[in-house]
Amino acid sequence: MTAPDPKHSDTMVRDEDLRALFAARRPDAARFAAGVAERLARPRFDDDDESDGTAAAPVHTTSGLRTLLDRAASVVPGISSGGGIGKSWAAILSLPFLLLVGVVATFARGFRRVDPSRHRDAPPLSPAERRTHTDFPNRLIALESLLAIGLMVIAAIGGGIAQDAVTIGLLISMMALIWHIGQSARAGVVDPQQVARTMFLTQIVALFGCVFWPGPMLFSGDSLLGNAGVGWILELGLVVTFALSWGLARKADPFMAFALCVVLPLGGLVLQLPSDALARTRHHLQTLYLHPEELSNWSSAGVMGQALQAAGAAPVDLQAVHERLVAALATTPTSRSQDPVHPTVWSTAVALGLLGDDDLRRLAMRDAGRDVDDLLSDSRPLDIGVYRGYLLDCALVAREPTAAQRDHLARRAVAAWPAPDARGDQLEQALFCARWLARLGRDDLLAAQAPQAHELLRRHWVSPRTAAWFSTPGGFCTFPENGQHADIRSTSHAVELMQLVGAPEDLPLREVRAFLRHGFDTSLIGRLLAGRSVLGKEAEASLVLLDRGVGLPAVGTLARLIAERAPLAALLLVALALRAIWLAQRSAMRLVGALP
Amino acid sequence: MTAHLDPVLDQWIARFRGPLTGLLASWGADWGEAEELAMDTFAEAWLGRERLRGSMADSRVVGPWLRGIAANLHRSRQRSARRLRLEPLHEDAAVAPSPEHPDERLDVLRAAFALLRTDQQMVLRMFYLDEASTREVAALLMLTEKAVEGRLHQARRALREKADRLLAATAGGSR
Repeated sequence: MTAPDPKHSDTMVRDEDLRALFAARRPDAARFAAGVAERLARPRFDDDDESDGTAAAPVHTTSGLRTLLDRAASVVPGISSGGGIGKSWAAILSLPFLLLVGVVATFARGFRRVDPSRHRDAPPLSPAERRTHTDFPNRLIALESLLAIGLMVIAAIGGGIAQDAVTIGLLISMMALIWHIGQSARAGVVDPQQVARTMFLTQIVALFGCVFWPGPMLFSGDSLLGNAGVGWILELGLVVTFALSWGLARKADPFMAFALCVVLPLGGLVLQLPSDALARTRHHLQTLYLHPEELSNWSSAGVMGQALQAAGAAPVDLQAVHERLVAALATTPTSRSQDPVHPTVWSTAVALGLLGDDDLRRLAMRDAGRDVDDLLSDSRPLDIGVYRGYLLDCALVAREPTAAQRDHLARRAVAAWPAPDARGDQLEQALFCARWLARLGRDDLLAAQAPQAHELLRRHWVSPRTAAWFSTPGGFCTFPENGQHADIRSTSHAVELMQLVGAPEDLPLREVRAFLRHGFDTSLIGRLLAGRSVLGKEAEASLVLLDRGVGLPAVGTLARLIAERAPLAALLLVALALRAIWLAQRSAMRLVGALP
Repeated sequence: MTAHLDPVLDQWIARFRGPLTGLLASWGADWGEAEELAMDTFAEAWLGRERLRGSMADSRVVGPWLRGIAANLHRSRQRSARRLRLEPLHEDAAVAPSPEHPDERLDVLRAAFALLRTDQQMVLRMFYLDEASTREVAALLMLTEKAVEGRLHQARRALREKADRLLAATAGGSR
């Protein structure tokens, strides 16, 4: 049996207690089975539609279809994702699906056509065809260069359909490969060594055209493998092609050996490597430099702490930071404007659990307790600034408010919830209010705010259809009225808000995940050069929070295949290339020997 | 009475009995009704198994299928109740009735459970009612296993916080 997180029993209710809690309600296994058997033995009336729950029961999950519809609606103009069944089928026949079908169909066709013996009866090449055939490598490079330029433009202006463009590039490579073998057979020049070189070249050109030139970080929607997956598959394909060619010809091709010496280290440097986002987030928080008088890093530390808490990770040792905070608490600023410690620092420190009750009492005294008292006495909507969330914790510890006062604080938070037509950074304001309600344990009020929060999330979400040029879709924007530019900070706020109030059902969380995954670089060079990118670390922490705190809907097999159409195309391209080399060698062997 | 059921159906019941009953109880059925509806669901699912597309041994296929049937039966039961003006049975505490010899710790947990969010209550009911695995809970909720594990973790932590708060309030009141 799977038991979640047994190691954190000090912060959670134990499994045994929960089982004991439900013990009296537990169905008796024998009685339950007997009840089912008795029902199965009852005489049945087939026309009683109400008794037959299977009549309209879904036979598989709808989330895959929903993802498809949303994706299709973003590509095919004029198709709404929320239509009837006719629209659904129209939407499924969208570009990603058609590309998947095209890739599989091309592979199926090429599987037989890369056999040179199948072209023996075809008419010989005309002089013009012979020239085209001879010029194949140059034409292939030119074609893939054009594609790479197109991909770079797509990456720059939005990237919403980048994966489709990569798939098209790989599809073109597959077609070119099949065409070339057919032409070679017709020209009667199927030299195994030459075929192996051409297959090798086809994969290198695809690797540079679809991965290296446009960038391995190219936005790849909800694909788990992404464009880096395409890169790794092609790199592996090159190694196997080289090995196969070596094995068949019994000598290494110097061109291939040289090319591998260049391509393999390059791929190792720039292609994304698998990484454990949770472990990395823990490491980031552990190594983040946090000083009370330096504001940088504190917001990111808050996101990381929240993600680790949601994932149930073991606490991070921040003793040194705590000591700096205690030292800062000992100082008394002459005025708020002279205070070297920004309120964000205190709010984050409270969220990270770095301040104990005594520290909070001292913190309440630091402003002569005025703000904390105002909090309890004022009846207006909360207007203390989103950075000053720590005041609530100070009030709870230092003033020990009565139930009526706690209710008063909760009502003030609800009153401060952003209005539907309000402008500005409403996500942050809503998150501030939601945190406040959660801290007060008012889940009832939080649930009541959920519809408004969901509406707000929908308004701030940037879909591939509405994303501004030079921006990546899938995340959340700060100011939707100023253009749809998703950013990591707002997306972090949105993810935390969804953790508190739940995610809207119609929001494609996998697109949100793709945006966050796009926000940090796990390649070797990325780790070396972008190690100080705080926003990248924040994106990684938010991804952990989304995975563990919010949860992603399950996807069906077809939707998963469509999402991975580009890596699948790369895999099939490599398979075709290897088959072509193998068959070229076999065809050449058949020609050896005495002829009558 | 010993029931002789097909081994496949037996497997379904063993894997989904607890999570499905917990799910139905979370939709508003009382515990007795939830158990009855769960039995109905298994029977209907078995009789209509030709319509199931995919492997009958795969939880990811069977889970959504059972959920769909359970939802239909539950709706049908609600419609009948409205038509016949049946009063819901409110014998239901959110979790379990207080026993004759009360356990103070469980009483606090019971009270804290009632304060949890509905989604947190749901996942705890489904997982802890009977021997269940996160795979089956995830299949019924149409979520990933990781998401269910995350929800369980949060729910257990929230329950602990609420229980601590209640204990503190009780201690404060008795002072």
